Amino acid sequence: MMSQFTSISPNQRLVLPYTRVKREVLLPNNLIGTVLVRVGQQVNPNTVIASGNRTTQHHVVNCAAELGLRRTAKLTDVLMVKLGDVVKQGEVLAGQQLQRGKRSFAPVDGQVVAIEDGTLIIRQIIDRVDLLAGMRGVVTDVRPGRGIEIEGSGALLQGVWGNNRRAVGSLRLEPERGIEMPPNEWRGTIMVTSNPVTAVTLVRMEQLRLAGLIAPSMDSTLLEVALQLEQAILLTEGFGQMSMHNVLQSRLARFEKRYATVHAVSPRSVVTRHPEVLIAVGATDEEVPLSESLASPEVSVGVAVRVIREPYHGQIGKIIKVGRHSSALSNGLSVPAAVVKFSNGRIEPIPMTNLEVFT
Amino acid sequence: MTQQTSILAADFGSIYTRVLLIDVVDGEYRFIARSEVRTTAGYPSFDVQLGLRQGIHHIERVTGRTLIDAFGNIITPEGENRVGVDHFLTTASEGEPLRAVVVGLIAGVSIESGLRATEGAYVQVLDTLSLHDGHTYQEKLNLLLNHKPNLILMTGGLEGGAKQPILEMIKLVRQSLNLLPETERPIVIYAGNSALVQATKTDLGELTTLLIADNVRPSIDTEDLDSAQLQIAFAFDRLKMTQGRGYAEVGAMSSVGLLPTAHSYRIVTDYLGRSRKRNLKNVVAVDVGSSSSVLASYYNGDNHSTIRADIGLGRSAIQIVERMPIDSIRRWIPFAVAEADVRNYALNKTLQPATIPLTRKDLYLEYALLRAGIEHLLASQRPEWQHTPPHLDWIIGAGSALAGTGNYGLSSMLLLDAVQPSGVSQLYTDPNGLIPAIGALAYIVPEAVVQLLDGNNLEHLGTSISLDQAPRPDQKVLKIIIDVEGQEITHTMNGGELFVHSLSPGKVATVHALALGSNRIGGKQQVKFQAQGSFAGLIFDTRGRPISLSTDFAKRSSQLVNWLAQASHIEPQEFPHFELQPVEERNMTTLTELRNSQMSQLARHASTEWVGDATYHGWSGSIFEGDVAQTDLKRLFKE
Repeated sequence: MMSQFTSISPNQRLVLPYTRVKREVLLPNNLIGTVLVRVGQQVNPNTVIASGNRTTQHHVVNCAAELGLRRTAKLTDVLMVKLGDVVKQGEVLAGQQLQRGKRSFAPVDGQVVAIEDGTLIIRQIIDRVDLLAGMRGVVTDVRPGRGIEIEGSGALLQGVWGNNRRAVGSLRLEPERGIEMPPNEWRGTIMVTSNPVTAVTLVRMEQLRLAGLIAPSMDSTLLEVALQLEQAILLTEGFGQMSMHNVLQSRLARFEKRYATVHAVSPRSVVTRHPEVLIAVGATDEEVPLSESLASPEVSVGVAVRVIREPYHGQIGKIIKVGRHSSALSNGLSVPAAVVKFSNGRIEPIPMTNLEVFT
Repeated sequence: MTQQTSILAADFGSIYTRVLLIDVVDGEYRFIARSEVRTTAGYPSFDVQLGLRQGIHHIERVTGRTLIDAFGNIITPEGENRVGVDHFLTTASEGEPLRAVVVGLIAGVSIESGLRATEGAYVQVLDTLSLHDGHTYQEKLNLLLNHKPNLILMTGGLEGGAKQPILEMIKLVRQSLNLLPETERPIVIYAGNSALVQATKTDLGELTTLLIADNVRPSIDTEDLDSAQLQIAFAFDRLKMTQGRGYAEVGAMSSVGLLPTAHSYRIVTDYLGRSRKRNLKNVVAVDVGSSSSVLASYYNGDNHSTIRADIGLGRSAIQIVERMPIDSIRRWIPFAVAEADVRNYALNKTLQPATIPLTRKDLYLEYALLRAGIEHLLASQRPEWQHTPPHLDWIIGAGSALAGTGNYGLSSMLLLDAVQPSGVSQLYTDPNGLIPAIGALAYIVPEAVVQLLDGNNLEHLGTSISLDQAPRPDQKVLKIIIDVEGQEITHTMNGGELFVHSLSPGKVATVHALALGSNRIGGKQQVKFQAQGSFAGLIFDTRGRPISLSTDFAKRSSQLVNWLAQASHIEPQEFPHFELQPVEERNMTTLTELRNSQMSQLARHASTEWVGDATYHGWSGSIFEGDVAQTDLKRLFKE
């Protein structure tokens, strides 16, 4: 008889009033980059930590053919550039004379990256990209040519989705009666709303020139727009019409007007980080552990959990029993579940995977 | 007599890590213990070893054996007092697939063989480049560079054929490698004309990891894929090892490195299809995971496997919606739902891939995505089955979505709905993760594969008896006589029904099914056979092939509710009238539309009231990450 054991831990979300975080900030890997800071250096959100040239195309210039050379080896005698040279469009690459006669010209602005068999390859340079630190902290590691690792501290709140943008600004709560203060006071801020994002929210965000938006949810019809906007959008719950859960709401309210960084990461199949908000708060004298080291709580009776799927979405309760075997659900499924007692006294078996533990 | 060999096998899925202990008992290989824990490849630990050790500790606890030493390493070989195991085997489907470009000479010949060689591993073919594909040399070079593949599969040239075109191809690959930083160069597999192996080694060997395989197309009429497929599996292993997240350490402990889970499905269907003992002709295995899915089928002697890294019921859920017509999903949903709400559901599943539907509506949404996903897999591998329902002896379902429902009737119905076989089929699931382990076992203990597969280690869900074509719902179409230990039960079914008769494991029944009128069961008027008991029992399906869903929404809703109730033994719960009324579709908003419709009004408001210079402290911009996908880059940069 085979022994079976299933141990399914619930989901985790970090909501920490003060913690240390380590984050990688990297250039896209199609950039040829240079890191501009060193280990131990203090950086601010707008410190340029690396820069790189964006390239998209390589151009093959058959100089030997253009010059009518019978032997490709002869090209070296008439080359006007060497490997690594940066060239301008129209610049002479090879020829008997610079000003006249048969010559080969650079088709684009770029860099000579290969010379072989009578041909030159020019890597076209489109533009230059500066990479900002995006958070305050100390550089703890340098990834040559790519970026850095920064260690910083502050309050940390994780969400579930972002539109691949970052924002830095002070947190402002959306007033219940709508925005009444002079609009220019909202510029560059990160607005926190407890309501689902609507088309009007997005228009207003652009119009007010907000730096970012933290909201509970958004309809999928707005997804494409959200991905095109320059401002950062971070969702704390997901897609649809969900409201923000109380713990996050109260934490964010506590930090109003604080300076915050929103890393609105869009999740991919290999989740490297969560969308999150890092808020600058006064440092404490106490040594605090790194946030990630807190992210593996043991699940046991008494642990406070929150349900992340309907019909109990957002409800908070305590685990009163962790079953070793599958539990039958009312919809016919039978899966590993924990028995949860909700704050209203109701007791239900909830699949372990539908629970979230706050750390 | 089987030599005593103990085996610990681990399979790393996107969500779950499954660990199995296999050992010899009474001269035969058997499962001893199994554990299932969360995979720890992602945030926050980024180390698969944590989940692996947790899973092994559970096995140590229940078996009383010691398998890991004080440093966290798996003890091999097995020592005295049953400490350790002889082999540790690892497979993985977690993570991103190999992103490959297939380079060859002729599209319909070597390229086609190259593409077939990629079946059976987690390979996403980004592009193919051939001699006369219409691209200039420069365009080919840019395609190779801009796709950023992590694998280039080079094919081409018949044995004894022309060399010059292949040398051109080698030059192209060499130049592309030279233009990339060393750390970003793809692995190259050469599977072309063997006369150019040395030239390939000379040109490419020092630039990147070069793997040599036998020519996939040695002659125009022959194809030899085994060697190339093995090298692709090896490339998968190499790539995983360099990705960090603990795979290098795990792979170093493994007797076979890290193999792609999908490879195992092909091995299993091939074995079952060829096995004379079972006398099976046609076998299908389908594994729907969170991020990817595998379909392997042995049909009339032809074994195929398809892996789709874009079909899954967790992290890839939204991709099912994006790839399938919405009505191919909604046809399985018995209440009115807007496309945007199906998208909302799929997006949330993508964000929280392990979650399980709790409400009945969510259950329908979840399994509508599952059916549509499998239908898409089948249509891509066996398009002819859409017109001619396949006669399948065995259908095996794997992955949490199919094997983890905990409701055998429901799992059976989902397999029938998605695969739609005709005739008599045995339905199985693999809840223990046997198949991934078998793929790795095949390399080192082949006799274990035979013994484990022959040893009833898959879960027998039920026996299905399905009518072909489209039986009429208002007519009697199937008469059933079931004899269990002399007790005879007779039942007659109309078209469009599902009838489940319980026959517990261990029991045997004589089943006699007679198709009435012009109807047929797998092409036959009647079938009579001995049925073995199983968890769901005997499932009689007169819904037709393809399954005939009513065009009247209220009737279709009723059909779906009743079929679910019949199969899963839960109370039928019809949806009220208002839930069947057409819902308003909400269209996808574009940025231009949004600005045009809303901005003018707000802008007028703004132009009159926005005064003074604001102190602009904040900023927003793109997130840069090293491994941002090409499509994301378009979004990151303003275009």
